[in-house]
Amino acid sequence: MADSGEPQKLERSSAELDPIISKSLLIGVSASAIIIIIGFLLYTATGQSGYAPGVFPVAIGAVLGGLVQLRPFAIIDFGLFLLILTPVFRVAIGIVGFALEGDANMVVATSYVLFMLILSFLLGKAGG
Amino acid sequence: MAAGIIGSMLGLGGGIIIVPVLTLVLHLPLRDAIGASIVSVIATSSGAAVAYVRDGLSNIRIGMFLEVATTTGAIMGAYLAGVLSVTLLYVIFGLMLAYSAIALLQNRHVEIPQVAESHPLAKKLKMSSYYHDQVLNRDIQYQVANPYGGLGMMWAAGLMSGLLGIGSGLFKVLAMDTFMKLPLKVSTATSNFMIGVTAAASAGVYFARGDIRPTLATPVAIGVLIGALAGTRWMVKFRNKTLRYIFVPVLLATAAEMILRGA
Repeated sequence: MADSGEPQKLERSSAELDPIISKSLLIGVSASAIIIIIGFLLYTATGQSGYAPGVFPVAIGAVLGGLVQLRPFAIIDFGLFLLILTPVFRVAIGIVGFALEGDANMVVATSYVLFMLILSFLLGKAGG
Repeated sequence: MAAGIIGSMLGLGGGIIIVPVLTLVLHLPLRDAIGASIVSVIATSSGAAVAYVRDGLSNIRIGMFLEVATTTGAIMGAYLAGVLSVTLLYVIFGLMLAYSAIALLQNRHVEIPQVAESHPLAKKLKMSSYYHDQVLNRDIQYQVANPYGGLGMMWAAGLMSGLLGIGSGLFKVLAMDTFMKLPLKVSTATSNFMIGVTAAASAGVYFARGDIRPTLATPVAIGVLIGALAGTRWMVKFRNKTLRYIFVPVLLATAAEMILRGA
């Protein structure tokens, strides 16, 4: 199926890293989906959110604390938290992958992206 | 679910669909709708990228390189939010989108753009790649033009999401389609791959503010994930030209909405 002229030109730009990134996204998405569903089932089954009406945990500490006590909303929030962190993880995995490929330019670019992401989380906290 | 299908096919976050549905149809507060749409963007992006990256449709080198510009723009945007006139911005971005709709229409007969040789920077970063086109049933090798123009447009996309808090998937697709001359499928799949990172940058803030409600976010996240899985299966079966025809009305509607909001 390749172009008949120059088959040697047909090169995937990241043949080795693609499956790794794809798998890490799959793990992140499935893990968070399963946790969210468990939390939601627990919430509908018991009718208890684990919190006062209209209240749900927002701080990381509160989510983790509620998770240990198996409070349904804390479980859902933990799943949502994992979902939000999934793209951040794949950036981090990208850094490692490009480093293993010995691609200094991409390591610098990807590290900068991770730095900006962490910065945004810190700024977000400061800004409230 | 519909948001996931359309979002994953066009490389958008689905916020364009989620926010109006939740506010106008279900009469939910805008804050909650935006919180849910952030979750939907991340779910669409990560869910669809599983397949797009595996199949080589998302070009992760291009994506990760351009994320340098989107994240920078997003943070600058968040800072400038109080300084710049938001209404004026809506008009400017709306006009930019309307202009790009015309550009897209002019290219409506192009199935695969022809770029003779990649830009030196694109060569250095090994951006050129190929994907297997299911419709044409052959591998499509593509070259990459104008990475600096792409970076500039991506910076604008990040700035827009930081300032206005709305999906910049449209701008990302346009940056890759119009400036870098990538095949439209690669542009949408790569945009899809990227929007998760842009959304994650603002998700922390929304989460901490309590805008992401568990009861609302759960059905949205799960529905969008299912939609995204379906969308990735369908998108590869469309021609690039067909995708363009789906894309233009979405673009025009968004442009009109933004200009109206600003005016």
